[in-house]
Formats: sequence, C-alpha cells, structure tokens
Amino acid sequence: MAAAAAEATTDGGGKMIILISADGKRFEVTEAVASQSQLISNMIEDDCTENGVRLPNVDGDILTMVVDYCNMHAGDAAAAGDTMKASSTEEELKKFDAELVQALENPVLFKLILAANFLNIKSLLDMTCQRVADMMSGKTPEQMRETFSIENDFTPEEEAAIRQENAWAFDD
Amino acid sequence: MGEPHAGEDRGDDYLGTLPDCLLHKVMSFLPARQAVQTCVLSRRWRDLWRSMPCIDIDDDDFVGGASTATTGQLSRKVRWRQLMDFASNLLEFHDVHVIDFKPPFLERFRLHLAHSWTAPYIRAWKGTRLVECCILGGFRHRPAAADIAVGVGVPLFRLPWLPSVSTSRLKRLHLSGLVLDGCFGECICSSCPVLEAMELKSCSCEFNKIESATLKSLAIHGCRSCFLEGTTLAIKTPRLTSLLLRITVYYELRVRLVDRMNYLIEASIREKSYEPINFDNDLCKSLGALASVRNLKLSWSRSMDSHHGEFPNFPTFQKLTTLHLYKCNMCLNLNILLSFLQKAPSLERVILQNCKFPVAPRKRKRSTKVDRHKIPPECKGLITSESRALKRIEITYQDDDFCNLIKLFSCNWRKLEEYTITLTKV
Repeated sequence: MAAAAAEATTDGGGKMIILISADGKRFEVTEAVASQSQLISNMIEDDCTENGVRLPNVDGDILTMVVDYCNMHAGDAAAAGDTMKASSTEEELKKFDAELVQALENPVLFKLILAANFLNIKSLLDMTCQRVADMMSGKTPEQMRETFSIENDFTPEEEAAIRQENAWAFDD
Repeated sequence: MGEPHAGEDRGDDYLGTLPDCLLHKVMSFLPARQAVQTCVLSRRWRDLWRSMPCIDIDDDDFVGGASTATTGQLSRKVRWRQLMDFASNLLEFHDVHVIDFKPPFLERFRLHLAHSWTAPYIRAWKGTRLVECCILGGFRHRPAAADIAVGVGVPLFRLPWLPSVSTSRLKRLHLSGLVLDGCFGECICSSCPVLEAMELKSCSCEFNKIESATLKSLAIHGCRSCFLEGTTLAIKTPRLTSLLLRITVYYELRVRLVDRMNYLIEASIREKSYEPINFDNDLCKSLGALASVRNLKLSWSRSMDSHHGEFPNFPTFQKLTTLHLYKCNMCLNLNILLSFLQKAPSLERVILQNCKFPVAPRKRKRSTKVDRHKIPPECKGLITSESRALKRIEITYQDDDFCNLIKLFSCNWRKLEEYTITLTKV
C-alpha cells in the first residue's frame, strides 16, 4: 500500500510508529519497542498504525515513562538481538526497574498502573501492582488508610461489625 | 445500589479509583490474610476479597512476633488454630456473595505449610484432616494454577484424591513434600485436560506413570520412591518442550522415558547414585526419547558399566546444538562424551563444567593410564566430532586437574587448534 512508503524506517530495520498522548505529545518508537504493548501489537497486526496511535487516556508525562520502560526492555522482548542499542544486561534492567518504581509518588504510580493496564503491558502492570502491594504489606488497616489517603466511610459500629464478621482474619 | 465505585471522585484516594480487576491484581501480591483484612478499609474494599482471583495461604504469615521460649509452645498452638480457622473460613466464604455471571474460579491457589513449626500439627490425625480440607477447599474453586507445599523433611502428608472437575482448568501444578499415590498418576492422566506445566519437588512417589498429551514442561527434583525396592516412573509426554530431572537416590526412583519427545528444546538430567549402572541398557534407551533435544545438560556421578566404550543403543541427536556436562566424572565416563561428539551432527558448543578429569600418573612419559584404559584403542588419536558446526568448547574447573584433560585432548583430538577453547577457574 502507499502508506508503507510514508512510514519512516531505521537502520535497525524496524518500522517507526508515532504514539500520541492525550495532551498531543508525539513519541516516535520502533515497532519492536511499541509491540511490548499488547494493544499496539494488535494494532500493528491489523495494519492501523499509519497515522500514529492516539492514546486519549494516557498523559504525556506518563507516556514518557512508559516509552522509557519499553525502550529499556525492548532487548529481552526481541531476543533475536538485532536491536539497535546494545541490549541491556539483566542487572541493568533490574536496577532501572527498581529505580523507576521506587521513585513513584502516589498519583503517578496509579496513573502508570492505569496506563500499563490500558496499553496491556503485562510486565509493567505486574511491577507497579507489586509496588502497591509492597506499600500495603505488613501494615495494619489504619496504616494502609494513611498511606493511601483512604477515607474510612464506615461508622464505628459498622467497622466493628465487619471486624466481628471476619474475626478469623484478624489477630485479636 | 448506592455503592461507591471506580471512577468517582475520591479525593486523594487514588488507589480507590482503580477498577476492581486492578485492585484484585494488587491483592494477588499480598498474603491472603492481609488481603482479607482490607475489608475494613472502607466500603469500596468491604467485599473485594470475596472475589479475589488468587489465594495465597502461607504458614510464614502466622509465625507471629518474637515470642519467648516459654510462651512459644502455647502460642504456636494458638497460631496453628488461627491458621486453620483462617484457611477454612476463607475458602468457605470466598465468592459466596458474588452475584455476577463470572464463574467463581481461582486463577491461583497457593498453600504453603512447609515451615517447621506447623509440621507436628500436620502429622497429628486431626491436623492432617484439616489440611486435606484446605486443599480440597482450594481445588473446589477450580484453580488454573496450584502450588501446594506441605511438611518438612520426609514426606508424610498424602495428597487427597482430587475430584476430576476440580482439575479441569488446571494449567500449572507445583507440588512439594507430598506423598503422591496411584490416584495422582491417574488424575494427571485422565482429569487434567489442559495441564501445561508440572513441578514435583521432594515428593514421595507411589505412582508409576506420568502420562499427559498436553504437558509442555516437567520438572522432577529430589523425589523418591515410597518403597524400599524402588519404583520406576514411566514418563509419556509427547508434547514436552522442557524436561528437568534431578534425582538423588536413596530409595531409588528410576525414571523411564517412554516415546520420543519430538518437540523437546531443553533437557537437564542429573542423577546421583552410588551403584554402577549399565549405561547402554539403562540409559541409552531413555536417551532415545530425548533424541530431538537442542540443549542438553547432563550430570551423573556414578560409574558407567561400559566395557569397551561402545554403546550400540546410543541414539543420534540430530538437533543437539549445546551439550553441557556438569560435574560428570570424566575418568569413568569419557566415552560418553566421545559418543556425543560422534552422534550429534549439529553440535555447536560443548560445555564441561566442574567435571572431574582423568588423573595422569606423574612420572610416566607415555600417555596417561586413563588414556590407555578408557579410550578404546581404535579411537586413539581420533577424538573427533561429526559436527562441522562445533567451534566452541567451554571448560570451567575447580582443581588443576584440567591439565590432564588438555593433555588428553591435545594428544587425541584431531585438529584441536581449530576450536575456540575457553577455560575458566571457579
């Protein structure tokens, strides 16, 4: 088709794809990088990425993080090895992931979870959900409420009743 | 309904704005008790645990704080009661109130009672019944993946009979520390229509066959036979792509591979035993089932009873590209390496890791004793590979006895200079 000619190609041989965030920022990535998102991978298969992929519910700053993550992890997805960058070692990846996730503040972390879910990037979704679980782990319900600013909308009587009903799950 | 839901304005409570499926995902990374405790956080959370798709019950979460030695005994008993009370309530009330059209199936059921503090309670009659109920309670939710570990040391707890409907969705099964009887073998064979991966670890086996048309990955390690006279486990899994056998023999569990596995990509086989076996009769026939493998890792310490170094039953490994010999005794088994070199036409890489090499008597000028005895005379000077692709030989060693190997190779391997040999001391 004529559209194929319009698409930029790189030395690595992968076609380039334009991702457009909700606030109109454009990101140019290779197919190999983008197809870590199952959503985009399906779009590539269906040949509907020529005019760029609009992602109406992902903000530019979140998409920047997602693209960084995908660039970093492109090596292990396309194990064939002819990605342009020297494929990062496992240790580097772990360090990158740990730093990315540690640095996340509450609202950004949840936006990233939603983006990973929408774009269907399993490894990123697992990693971010694990981070939330780690933040809950070992905390009492009161501490969890504090960490995530959860408003306790039970009356004291209701809360006591629920604790009573599920007493088998509590220590006391 | 007036119930709060995802998407509505919840102030700074970003977590609460996530849809149920994502909160369930977060809960799947939590131990079950903590996942249930979220019910008191707010109305949004009250009933989420009832439909969470993953349940992870671990005795580690019930160890409790630092209790003193004197109160330790008592509090253990209390903890055990808490644990069993928790497990039975969770498995009973999970999903009871969920009225949507999704069937109440679990994605993952994990039950680990492998901490030493629970072992005495599990051994008692009452404890055994309770644990059986937990396992059956979990399987009632037809998990897609199940991971059960019970007990420490010698397996004593017998996996209860699983109704066939309970394993109808099972794709991944990990069992550790259990006694597995004939019913289990039957269940794998006839009641697991979508099983893809199975791992048996430190189990005691009373069954004698693993037969599955769907299994792709199988790992058996540290398992033993229940009977003094040993058991032979016949494995018939034609779709297998990955096989790992690690068998330490006390009560001997022998494994017989039936039928060639045409899709096999990697296999790792490690045997540790002290009685000599007849390599040709016992092992070559099993190796025949692996003849399609691409990466093969082998390790065995026992001496092979092979008089003349010829194995008429040694198969041809048409697709083998990497041969990895780990901790093999090359004094005794050098001709196995020679057989591989001759019967693997696509071999690209040979790795000899921490193998024991022949020791040459020091003050002799002639080629080593081992050379003379272990390499059949007609092969002398003719160690050669049938493969044109073989370019790399990687050797890691602990002691300095690799010199003997190099001497052996340089004397006997034709055109050794054409290979890339990497030596690493560990």
